[in-house]
Amino acid sequence: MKKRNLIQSLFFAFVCSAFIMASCEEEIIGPEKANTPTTNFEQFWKTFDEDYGMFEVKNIDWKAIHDQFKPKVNDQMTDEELYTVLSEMIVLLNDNHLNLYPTNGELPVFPGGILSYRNRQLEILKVQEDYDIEVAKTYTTDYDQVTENIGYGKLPDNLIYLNVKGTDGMKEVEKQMAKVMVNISSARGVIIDVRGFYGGYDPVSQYIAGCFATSKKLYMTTKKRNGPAHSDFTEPAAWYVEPKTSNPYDKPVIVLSSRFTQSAGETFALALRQFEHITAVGDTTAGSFSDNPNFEMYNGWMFSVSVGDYRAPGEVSYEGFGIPPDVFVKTTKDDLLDGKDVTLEKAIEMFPE
Amino acid sequence: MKSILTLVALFVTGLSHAQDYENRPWMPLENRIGLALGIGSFTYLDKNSSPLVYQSKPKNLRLFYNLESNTFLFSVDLDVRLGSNAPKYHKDRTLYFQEEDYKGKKEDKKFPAGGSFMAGKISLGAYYKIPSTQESTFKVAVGGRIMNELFYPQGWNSAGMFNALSISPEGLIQHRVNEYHQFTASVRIPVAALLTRLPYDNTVSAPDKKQVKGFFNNSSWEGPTKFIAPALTMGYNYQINTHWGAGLNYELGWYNIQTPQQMKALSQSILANFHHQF
Repeated sequence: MKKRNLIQSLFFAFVCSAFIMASCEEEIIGPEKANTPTTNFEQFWKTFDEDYGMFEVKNIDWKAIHDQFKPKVNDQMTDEELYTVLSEMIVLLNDNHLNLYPTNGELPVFPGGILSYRNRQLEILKVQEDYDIEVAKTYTTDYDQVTENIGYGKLPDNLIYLNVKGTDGMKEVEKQMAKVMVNISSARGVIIDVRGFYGGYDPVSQYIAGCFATSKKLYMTTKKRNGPAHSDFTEPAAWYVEPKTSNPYDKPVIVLSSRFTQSAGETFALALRQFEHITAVGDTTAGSFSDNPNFEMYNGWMFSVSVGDYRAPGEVSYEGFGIPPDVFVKTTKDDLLDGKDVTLEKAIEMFPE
Repeated sequence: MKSILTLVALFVTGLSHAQDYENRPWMPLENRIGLALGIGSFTYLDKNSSPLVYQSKPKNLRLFYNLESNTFLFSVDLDVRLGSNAPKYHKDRTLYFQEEDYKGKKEDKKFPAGGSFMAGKISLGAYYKIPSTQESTFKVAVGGRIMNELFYPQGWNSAGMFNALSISPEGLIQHRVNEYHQFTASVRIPVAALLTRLPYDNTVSAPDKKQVKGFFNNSSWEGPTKFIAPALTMGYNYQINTHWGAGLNYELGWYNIQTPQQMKALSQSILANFHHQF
């Protein structure tokens, strides 16, 4: 009986200890700060201050922006008013990689935006009106979607249309691109369409660009924030594009870009631009290269921050501007509604007979 | 709470009454393989990417093997934990996207900003049984554990992700009440860890690196000032017969990681196990 009591006591102690420890959670982890418009505004500003990578290259006085907007913030303001303040702040950074994600289900996700003048008014481009993959595909035959994001088809006169709209897993890309490169090797030219390439993983872009590289070339250096000072950065990493096959494709290539070619799409376009046999046609790219992880505020809202400073060779920064094409052509909304892709047509015309 | 205690009491009492099998010598040296199932929680605040406390309540599966000689104890544990993951005080977040195409078609999309939690652990422990305690019902062993833990929360934010290959001294005490009942407790404190966290900038893209390689590219050896992760385990085992046993295990782990920015976490799990004694 005595022994049984001991066992039960030990068991009781066992269970109680577990519950006592579980109840210490808040003491161990620490409490969250109060969720108020003021703490959220300060958290939002501070995160950018400590992580945004382009204050220096864009010559932005972030402290002045704080002082400009702080008077508009008070603890009685509504979610919608806070949303307006934060949105206006990020628009000043002219960075398409900055998004504000309210999580109350009522306010829409705010895109930092590709700024553009329309009817002399500065506005954010939200709708892509110069490209539709379905229209582009009507110019091709035997179109084959080889991965979720890579497809290709034949154009008249032994040309190839290759569409890249994102990055798949590296292994899949290596496997499929090896087949694609064999199949297109006898084509007299290739049109690579990245007008709908909104982003992905840069090393995959680097790999695909390598399939069209004829030599090893530096195309980009990247450094990322690693401390609270605006000048705290990692050592620059050098990105090279180099041939991925023993028979690199060295015949004429045209890459089609648009204002919606961004992020990994844009670093891909930048890599291709390093070669003389590749010509860029279309519109200027978005001007948003850097990685942009998500951060959070006390109210649960999220926002993305560009943490890097990405440069083209020669320390040139295209952030906020985009890479201009060699030949500017822009398909209009009316063209698309008529089933025409003027940019693609121009590219086809540009290949020598 | 009441119902849990009642269940526990019934469990103990029920098993005690079922002891009608043959008398046998003292609980045998461990040579057992077992499976454990349980629940737990993982709560964390990773200041590298969020000011929010996150919490997951994952299901836990463990496969274990214990081997005991007259001098040593060895253990191999393989743990998998799976569950959903969300900020503790903002569990029902909803995102609202407004989409429009050039044809004028507008679409409103709303969906929950949820996440998942996956963790894996493999550990190998070896202990020396202190001879002077072996005649007592309270037996003490000291040794060490090599362990690899991967915490992989996924969602809109990458807070809480880390991998740690750690080396810890560990102390173990066993109280063998009689041939049926055994209580065990252990404490370990890592002294060195190969720690992999997302860097300060929270991204892993690097030239020519696949994502996994990019993540592990950011590994460094840390001492006990940068990777503080003491853990406590408590266990109860009931030897049903010479070949089968059952038990309960509770594990508490506290993490205070100082690099690249502070992350604090509390990990708990309670598992019911069944084991086969060879």
